[in-house]
Amino acid sequence: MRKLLILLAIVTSFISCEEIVDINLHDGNQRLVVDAEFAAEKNKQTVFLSTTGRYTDGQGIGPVSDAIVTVTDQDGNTGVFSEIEAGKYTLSNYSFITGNTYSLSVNDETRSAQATATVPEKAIIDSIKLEVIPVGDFTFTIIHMYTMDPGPEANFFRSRLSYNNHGFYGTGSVFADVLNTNGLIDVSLPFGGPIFEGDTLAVDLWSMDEAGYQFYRTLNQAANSDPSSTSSPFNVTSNVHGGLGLFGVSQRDVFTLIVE
Amino acid sequence: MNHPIIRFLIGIWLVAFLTVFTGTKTYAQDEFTISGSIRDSVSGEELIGVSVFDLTTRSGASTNIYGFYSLTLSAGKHTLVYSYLGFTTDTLHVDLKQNISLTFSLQTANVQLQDVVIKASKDNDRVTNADVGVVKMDIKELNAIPVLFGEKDILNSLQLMPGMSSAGEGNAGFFVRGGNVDQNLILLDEAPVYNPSHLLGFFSVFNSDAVKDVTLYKSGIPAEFGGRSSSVLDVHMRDGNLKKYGVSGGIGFISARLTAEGPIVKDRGSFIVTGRRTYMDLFIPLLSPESKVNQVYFYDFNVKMNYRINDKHRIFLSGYYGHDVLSFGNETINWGNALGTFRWNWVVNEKLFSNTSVAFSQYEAEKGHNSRNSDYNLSSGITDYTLKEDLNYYLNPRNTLRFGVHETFHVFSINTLESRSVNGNVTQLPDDSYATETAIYASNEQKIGTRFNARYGIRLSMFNRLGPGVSYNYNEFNLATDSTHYQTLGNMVTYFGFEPRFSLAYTVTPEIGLKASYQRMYQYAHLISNSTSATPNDLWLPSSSIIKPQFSDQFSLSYFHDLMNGMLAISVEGYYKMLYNVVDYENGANIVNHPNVESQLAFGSGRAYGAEFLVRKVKGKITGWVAYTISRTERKIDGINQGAYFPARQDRTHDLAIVLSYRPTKRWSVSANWVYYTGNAVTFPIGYYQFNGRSIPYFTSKNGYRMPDYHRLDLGLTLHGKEHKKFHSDWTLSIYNVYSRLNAYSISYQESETNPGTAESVKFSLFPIVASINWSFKF
Repeated sequence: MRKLLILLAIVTSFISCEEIVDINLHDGNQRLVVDAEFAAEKNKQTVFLSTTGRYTDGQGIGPVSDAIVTVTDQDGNTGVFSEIEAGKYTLSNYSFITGNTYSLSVNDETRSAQATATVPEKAIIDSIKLEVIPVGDFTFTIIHMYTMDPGPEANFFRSRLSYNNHGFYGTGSVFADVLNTNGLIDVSLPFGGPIFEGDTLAVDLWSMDEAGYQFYRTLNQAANSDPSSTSSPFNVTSNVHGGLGLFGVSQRDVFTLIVE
Repeated sequence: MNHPIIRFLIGIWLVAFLTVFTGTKTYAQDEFTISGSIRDSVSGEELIGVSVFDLTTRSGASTNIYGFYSLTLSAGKHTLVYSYLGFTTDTLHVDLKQNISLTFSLQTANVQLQDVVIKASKDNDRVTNADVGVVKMDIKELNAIPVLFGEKDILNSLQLMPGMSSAGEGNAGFFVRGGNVDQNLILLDEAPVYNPSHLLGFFSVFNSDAVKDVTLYKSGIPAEFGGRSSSVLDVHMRDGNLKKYGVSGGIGFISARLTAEGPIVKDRGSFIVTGRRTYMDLFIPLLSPESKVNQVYFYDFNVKMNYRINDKHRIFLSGYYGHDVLSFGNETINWGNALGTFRWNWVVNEKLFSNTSVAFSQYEAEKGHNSRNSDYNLSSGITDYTLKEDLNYYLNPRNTLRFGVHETFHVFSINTLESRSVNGNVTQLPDDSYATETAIYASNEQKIGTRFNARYGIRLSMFNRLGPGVSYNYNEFNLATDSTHYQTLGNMVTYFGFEPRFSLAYTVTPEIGLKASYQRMYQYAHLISNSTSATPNDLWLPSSSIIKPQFSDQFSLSYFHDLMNGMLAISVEGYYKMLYNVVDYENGANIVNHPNVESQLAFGSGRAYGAEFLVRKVKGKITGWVAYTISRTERKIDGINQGAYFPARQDRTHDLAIVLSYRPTKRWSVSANWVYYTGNAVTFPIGYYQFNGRSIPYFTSKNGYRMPDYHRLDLGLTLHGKEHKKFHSDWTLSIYNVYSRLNAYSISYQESETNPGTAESVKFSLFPIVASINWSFKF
């Protein structure tokens, strides 16, 4: 849309104009936001609870305190989270077992939300290779990450790249393996800048369930979308009934490469 | 052509064709046929829709789009009245003792005579004929309407009629009765126009100097038209003056146009050539020195030639080429249409008229980026090769049969990427897609008793998607699970369409008519677009195993009433339209350079209903109309808006247009129009939330908000030059948006400069008051 407006501005450059207007966005009721991404290998899990805020100024966004947060496995074993600071709840020494399904429940005085998640098989990164493509005076690098298909069922992943320990690069990639390849999966991670000898590349690979995949797929598309070329605005897909956000239990693998 | 279904369809058509030929030999010899064509006495051009009425038997006919008519009457004396809007009515006394071939010329009427003509024929035809939801506009009438930059534009002016709404400010894109932009079949001399817009929609591809006749079918669409599910806009180019050479043109605020026409062989053949070019790009460097790298312009040409070989055979060759160029910095966007039609008219006998057409249509859009780091072009388009045979058989004064066969070969180019690396490598993805569309049709226009007129018919269509290509199946994650590869011309998928058409008119009194219609329309090519004006991101896709053909059912009821001796014409039309297999984007879809675009689509249905009111004053010094539409248009798409109905982008509750023309003297004329409509449905965020350090917007229902209501007043003042024998010119002053209302073209959100950390809504408006002067000439 931005490019289209630039074009229109050129076409009508003598006369078009912009002005600030008031739009009543019917701010409506605040909704409960659940940020509950657990790492199966960790001993301590954290849930962040907050509320939605007004789009124009964010008013209303804030932590949700005094909620009762529990997680229950398929055998009925329940863990109760403790609020350690406003909106931040933790639980230690609760096991998440591959293949099991867990339910998260959140209740405060006025709201309640529930979500379920399944612990996926852990995928291991086999290797990383670099492909350098010259484009004009510029080089474009594609980082190929190879991982073994962890099982015949559908598998869902999220990966992010960090460069010289400068933090994650971009929004990362979300991908699924539903074709039962049972072989080596090649995932391409684009990298815009030049890479030099001695640089350190680290790839994080999270195995997720389907709900996590749909959440991050739509989140990345919403973040990267060019409105003139994609659909109308849409909500990020959530598995939280009664709220927004995500409940998921992922398995993480990390592979580090020093460029030679 | 070896497909058994194709052979079956052609077989049916041949049987019908031969039956008619045989039938022409069997009519009773106490009846004879008078046939021929009706022409403009000044230019020699054939006139479309001229009424030929026999006062003796109270029966009549009208000329078809090639100016041909045929009327079979009993032997004996008859009084025939030839009448046409803007021409003098002429009367002919004949004593029919044999078949007569008669070509007739009508004189252009002066203003006073024009009033008589309107009363004598056109209005009563409108009440009694079987046309339902049909808008026929006189080019002269359209030219009188004030428009943006003073550039006369057929589509912008047609949007002032009920049921046809604009896609946005000054935009030539249009919606008809809730249909999408791509659901309008737009024909220029029978060649389909896939993008009717120039300059992102501010102009249409139709140069009014080259246009002879415009008809919009909103419902009751005759069986000879097909391939789109909402409407038909049938535009015919002028043939060129058969009697003398002439040049006309105009110079305006941002463009100039020129037309040349004349006889190739006097009274046998003629030509017309028109051209336009905008020159606003010349002013862009005035903005800043850096701006001179930007380019914004379009040009187009129309060419037409015709030659009358003899009284039975006539050939036409017409073409159009238009191109738009927009570039800013390293980005370039080009698009354009190229059209060509060859037609052969054959008067087989006094009752049977044949037209054979070969048409070519190509639409291409390309966007490119050229910089030190990146050099690529991404293009998409569609090319059609069409062969048509249409026959009109004038069985008797009560029945006119129309039947024919159409065959189109489509070539779809989808996201073709050309990238150039430092090594000079060029990559192209993917292959073109091919398809054929075949249709046969037959219809009859029948007068039943003295009060009923009916038109009923059937169109059978067939679509074949052809290889080479790959057909995919997708799972719930839109990922391809398996694929089938097809070789060149291998049949990938076949669809059939059964398309009944029916309309009925009941004449209550000579001034009051009631009408009803039903139609089903199939559409096999689909435009994937998220913008109201054409952009190179738009894609035309063929139907496939995933994309099912769209089709629609529409019911319509109409009431026509002529008042005050024909001075006022009132009509009220109601409609209910259902749309099936409507195409939309999936949530979060990405179609730019996606290898499997169809995996990014969602499908559903739609409904549109409303009422259209039109009051026209067609006589006197003040003429014009008031058009009002109240309507509702909704879509229901799987996976969007929880699967519930939501307002379509073009849903417009109220749409009002008032158009007035006043000619106080012979040299001065004044015109004005005022439009008001409900703002388009849009989706705005109502809030946002934080997740893992990222801010995520939050929306409620799709298209749950409205843009502000739109209204605007335009004025036009024309000084008609003194009539000279060889030269005539007009000066026109147009004032667009007289009270300079800043109507919203778009509303977006950005971080506030005055209050960082908060967002504010920004309204982008295109045109405040715009005054322009145009000079038109003719010699």
